[in-house]
Amino acid sequence: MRAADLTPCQAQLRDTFEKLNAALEAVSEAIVWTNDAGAVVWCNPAFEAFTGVANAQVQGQLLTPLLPLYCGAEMIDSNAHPVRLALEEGIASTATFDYYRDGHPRIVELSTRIVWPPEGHKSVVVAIHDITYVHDREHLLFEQRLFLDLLQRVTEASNDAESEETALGKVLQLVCRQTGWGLGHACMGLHRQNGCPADSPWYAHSEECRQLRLYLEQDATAIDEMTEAARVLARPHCREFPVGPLANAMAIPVLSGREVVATLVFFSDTPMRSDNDTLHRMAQIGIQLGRVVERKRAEGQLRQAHAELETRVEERTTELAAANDALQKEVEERRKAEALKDELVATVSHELRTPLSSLLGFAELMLDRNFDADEQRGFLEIIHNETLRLTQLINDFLDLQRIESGRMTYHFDAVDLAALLKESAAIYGVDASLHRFAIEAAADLPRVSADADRMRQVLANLCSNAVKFSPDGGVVLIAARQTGDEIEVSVKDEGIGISADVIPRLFQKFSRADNADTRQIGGTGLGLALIREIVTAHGGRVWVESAPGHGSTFIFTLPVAEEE
Amino acid sequence: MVSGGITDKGIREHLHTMKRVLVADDERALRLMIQATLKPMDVELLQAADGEEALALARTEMPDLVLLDWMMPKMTGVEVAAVLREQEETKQIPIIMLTARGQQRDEHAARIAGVDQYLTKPFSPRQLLALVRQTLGE
Repeated sequence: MRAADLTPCQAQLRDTFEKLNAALEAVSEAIVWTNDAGAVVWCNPAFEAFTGVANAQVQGQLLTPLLPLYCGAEMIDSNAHPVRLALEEGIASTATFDYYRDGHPRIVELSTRIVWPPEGHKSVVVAIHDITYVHDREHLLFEQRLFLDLLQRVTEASNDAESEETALGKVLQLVCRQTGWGLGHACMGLHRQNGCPADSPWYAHSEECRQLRLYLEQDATAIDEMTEAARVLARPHCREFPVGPLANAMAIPVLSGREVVATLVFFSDTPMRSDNDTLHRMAQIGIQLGRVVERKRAEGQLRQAHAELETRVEERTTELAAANDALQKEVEERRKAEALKDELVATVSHELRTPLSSLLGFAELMLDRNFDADEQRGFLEIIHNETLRLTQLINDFLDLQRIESGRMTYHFDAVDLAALLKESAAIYGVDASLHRFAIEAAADLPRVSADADRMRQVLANLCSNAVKFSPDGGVVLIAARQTGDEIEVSVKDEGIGISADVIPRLFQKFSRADNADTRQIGGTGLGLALIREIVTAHGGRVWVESAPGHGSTFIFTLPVAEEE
Repeated sequence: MVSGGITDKGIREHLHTMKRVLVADDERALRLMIQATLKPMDVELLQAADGEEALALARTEMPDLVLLDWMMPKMTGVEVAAVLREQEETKQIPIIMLTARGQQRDEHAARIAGVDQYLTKPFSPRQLLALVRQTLGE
C-alpha cells in the first residue's frame, strides 16, 4: 500500500508505528513480546544482542527457556520464572536476577507487563535491563566507602596508640574485623624475624583463628615467607596454601618512604579475595600506618633524646658536684698543709730562738757584770751546750729537709753491722761514766745492705738518746740478730721510759716539744724523725718498746745484703 | 728563795716589801739566765717548768709580776695568761711574755689573752731588766 492511498487516520497510525518501532530499536533495554502461550512474537535488537540469538530464530520459541535466570548460583525454578508468573498467574513484576551470558555473570532487572488487547488473546511484554555496570559501580563505591572508613579508623587508632606495638595491634584488629581475615600478626622492624615472637602484636578474630595462631607457633615458615615477600616486594603480597589449615595469606608492608619498617601478615582458613583493588587498598593501609609508625618513632626518638639529655644533665651535675667537692677538699687539704707549714715554721723558729736566748743572754750578762769564776764557768758551759745543740738542730733539720725533698743520696753497700755497733759503743762509752755499753751480736751475722755513714748516724742518735734518757745510768745494750732475711738491731736502756700516749707521735718532727720530761733533757726533736726516714729508705722499719720507769728499747730492721 | 728565822724587824720589813717575780719556762738554762739577769734587783724569784705549775704558783703565791714563756708543756703561756686574767684575784698581775714565737699575729694573740709586754727570744737581759724595773715601778 502506498502512502498516497492511505486515509489520514491510517497514515497517522503508520507514522506512530514507525516512531515506536524506531524507539524500540534504539533503547538499550532488551524488549520481547510473547503470545499467551509464552512463545516469542517479536523482540527488539537489544534482545537479540542480550541473548545472542537472532530475531528470526527467536520467533515462535518459548521465552522461558531462552531466559534462564539465577539467584546467585542457583537457577530460578521454572514455576517461579517471572514470565510464567505473568502468563499463567497474571502477575506482572519487576525484579533483579543473576544471569549468565557466555558464562559471564550479569545482573539484570527484568520487568513483565501483561497486555490485554480489546480483542484477541493477552500477551506479555518483557523488558530486560542489564544493570551489571550500575551494580558494579555501586559495589565499588560501597567498598571504597568501607575502605575509606577503615583507613580513617586505622589512622585514628594508630595515632591514639601509646606505642608502635599497640598501634600495630589495633590495626590488625580493625583489618581483620572489616575484611574477614581471621588472624593478623605484626612483624616489627626491618629484618626478618624467625617465627612469631611472643611479644609481637597479633589478633585472632575467633577461636578457630586462635588455632591458626597455635599452628603458626609450631611452624613459622608461612609467616617468615610472607614477611620476607612483603619486605622484598615493598607491596602487598597474597598467596594460597593448597594443603594444611591455612587457606590464604596476605602480607602488607608498613612503609616509611621506601623502607619497610614492619609487616602485617594476615591468615585465613577460608578462601579470601585477593584482587588488585583489595591489594591496592591494603597497600594504602600499609603506607598510612607507615606514616604513623614513622611519626611514633620520631616521637620516641625525641623522647629518648630528651631523656638522654636529662640524664646527661644530671650526670654532669653530679660530676660537677663531685669536682666541687674534690676542689673543696683540695682547698681544705692545702689549708691544712699551710697550717702545718706555719706550725713547723713556728716550731723551728722556737727551737732556734730558745738556744739563742741562752747564748745572747749569758754573753751579755758576762759582758755587763762581773761574776765569780764558778758562775762564769756555769754560764760558759750553758753557752757551749746550747751552741752544740743549735749546730745539731741545724744539721738534723737540713738532713731531714734533704730527705723529704728527695735530695738525700744513699750509698748502699754490704756493711758489717757488728763492727759498726762496736764503733758506736766505743764512741759513746768514752764519755759515759754512769753507763756501761754492751754488745750482743752473733759472730756469723750476715752483712746488711746499708749506707754505712747513715747507719752511724742512726746508731749515734739512738746511743745518745739512751744515755740522755737514763740519767741514773745503767746498761745500754746494743744487739743485732737475724730474723728471716732481715737483721733486727735494738738499743736498750734502763732509763725513764716513755708513756704509751707519747709513743704514737714519737717519730714525728718536734714531738718532744709537748713533752715535759723530754723537754728537760733536751735534744733537737728531730733525731727520731731522721732515724725513721733513714731506716725507711733502707727498706726497714723502726719502732719502740717501752714503759715509764722500765727503760726503752728502740728496734729497727735492715735487709740482709745479697751474696755476691 | 727566802729562808731562816724571821726575828729581825729589818729583815721582816725587808721581806714584806720585797717584790716577788714568777718565771715560767721549761728551759732550765733560760730560768738560770733570768735569775742572773734580775740579780741586781732585790726580788724574790719563783720558778715553774710548765704551764700548770705556773698557774698553780701564781694563784697561791700572788706574785707581783709573771714572766711567761709561750710554748710550755701541759699548758701554754697564752692559756695561763687567759686564766689569770679571768680570775678576780689574779687579773691585776702584770704579765711579760718571753717567747720564741716572733710573728706579729702571735703578739696580737698574746695581747688579746691579756699579756702586758711581749719580748721575743732571743732578748737582751738589759732590756728585760729595764722592763721588769719599769713594770714593778722601781
